[in-house]
Amino acid sequence: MFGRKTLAEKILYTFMFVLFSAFALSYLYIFFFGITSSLKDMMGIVNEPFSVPSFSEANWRVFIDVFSEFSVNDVGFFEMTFNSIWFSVVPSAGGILCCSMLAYVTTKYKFFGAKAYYYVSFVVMLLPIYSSGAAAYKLIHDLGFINNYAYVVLGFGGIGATYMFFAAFYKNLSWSYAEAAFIDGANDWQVFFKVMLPQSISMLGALFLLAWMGAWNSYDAQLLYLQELPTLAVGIYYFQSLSAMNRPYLFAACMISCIPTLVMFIAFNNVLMSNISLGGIKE
Amino acid sequence: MENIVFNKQPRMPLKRVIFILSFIIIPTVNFLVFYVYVNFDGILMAFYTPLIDGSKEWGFQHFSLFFQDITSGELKIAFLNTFKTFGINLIIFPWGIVVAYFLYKKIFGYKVFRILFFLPSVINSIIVVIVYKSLIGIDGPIAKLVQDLFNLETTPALLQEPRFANAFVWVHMLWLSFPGDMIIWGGAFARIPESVIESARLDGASWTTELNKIILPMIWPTFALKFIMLFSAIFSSTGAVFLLTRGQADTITFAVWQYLIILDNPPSSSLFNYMSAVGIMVTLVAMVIVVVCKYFENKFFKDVDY
Repeated sequence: MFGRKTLAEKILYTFMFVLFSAFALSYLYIFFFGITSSLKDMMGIVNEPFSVPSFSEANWRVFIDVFSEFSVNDVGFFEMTFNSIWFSVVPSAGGILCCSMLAYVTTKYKFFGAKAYYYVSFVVMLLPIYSSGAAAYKLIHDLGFINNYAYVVLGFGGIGATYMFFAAFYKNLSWSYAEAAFIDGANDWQVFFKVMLPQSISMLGALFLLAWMGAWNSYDAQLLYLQELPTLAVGIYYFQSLSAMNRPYLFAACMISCIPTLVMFIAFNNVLMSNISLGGIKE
Repeated sequence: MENIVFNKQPRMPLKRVIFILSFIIIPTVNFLVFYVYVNFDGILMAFYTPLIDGSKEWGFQHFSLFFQDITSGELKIAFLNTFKTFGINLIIFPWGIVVAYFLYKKIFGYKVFRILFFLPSVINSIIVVIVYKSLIGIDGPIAKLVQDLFNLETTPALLQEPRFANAFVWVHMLWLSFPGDMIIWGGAFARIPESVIESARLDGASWTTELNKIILPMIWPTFALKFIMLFSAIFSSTGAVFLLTRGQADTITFAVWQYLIILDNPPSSSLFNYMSAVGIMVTLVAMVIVVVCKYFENKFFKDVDY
């Protein structure tokens, strides 16, 4: 589409193609290793970690048995899946919606303090404070949010980097749509939810997907705060240390846990890649 | 674009006040509780030690301990490793732009690469670590290679020996970070109008001219912001140390040091207070870094409107 390439470009592109292919194949190998390891027995995994079982030797039942065998501290696969959905979907959706609403109202309506949200978000985004980890844990502990489904309220923020994305978007969004809706008798809520929000749906979806995929695979915060309500990621972490003899189930659980994020990414990778832009958001 | 300007009106209608409040109340309360209060409490915590009888011993003891620990022991190693890891991030940062550039230029198979390069973000990092550990394990091909390379009598356990552990944490990091921040750079490149590139090509611009004179200036805003964010997060620099080594074999970083204190100790432990004191000192350094970076950004990076 950009015309013919020179010889130097052809050499460069070929080199980059080889390099890209090598890394891409290495990432594919993670999947391949995970699937082939799930299909072996424990001895096969230990003695011949890089071998590939034949179709007839492969233990395909592992992908059925994993639903009953994969458990940590009496929490089974389905409960972990529910926890994963709850602790990834609710805070991601809530957080993104809060952010969008805050950015809309602070960029499109003028009231005392509206601009402060922009500057505070800018500072929060650029300046990580390293002294808050212990205090945050203490507060969450004191509020009783540890091992509690209410932990998701922490995600209902709005100030920070994500705010900046939405602020940039709403600043550039024409107000004439809202004016037309106001003339037709719509109130402020209707204007936002029926006119303005739908226009940000691509960006909203992209940011939600990004937040959700991160939360789905996240284990660090969950390991601190949700040990008794393990998500699949935390379950996998515990299972690998608790149950050395059940490696095939570990690999099978890992592979199954990747399916939702993988499917969503393949389906929406174009949305993800073209709807998020950082920069050019100066006041 | 004309926004609603309320200061031209005598009073804002109550319905509108309720509307605005309904939109800002949750994020504001969340911010006040989980950011403002937490940070305020974090600062206070640095100045006292909780005693067994529930009272507090106020003072600067954690800060003096910090200045002792910084010159020796685990904290010194943690900071050194953090800076080295930041060095790796400095390599990854421009490389991410290179990868995004070739994907934008539609290198052969770019659609497949775009999906495959995102796999490390989609796959649970624990499975990636298990695969990586198998590859570099004693029975794997890499350990044998290292044994031959260093003429060792026995095959080394690469993640357990301080001599090799850090290097293999960084190899893991480089391996998975190869595509860079595809979402952000992909978004930045997607905003470049194709007509600008096409007209430059028609005018006979080479690909290097196109890159230097058109593409890079157009992604400056993203570059500048990402550049500052990279430096401001200098003390968060860490690989998958927790999963790979849990900080053993001299691989600990500052972020993992903080994480392990919270994970392994009850909230009543005075280590929490010590951690807050160290955090304050580190935040002060990070603040200086951000201000310096912002100064250079304003001086050297110019926005391009398009």
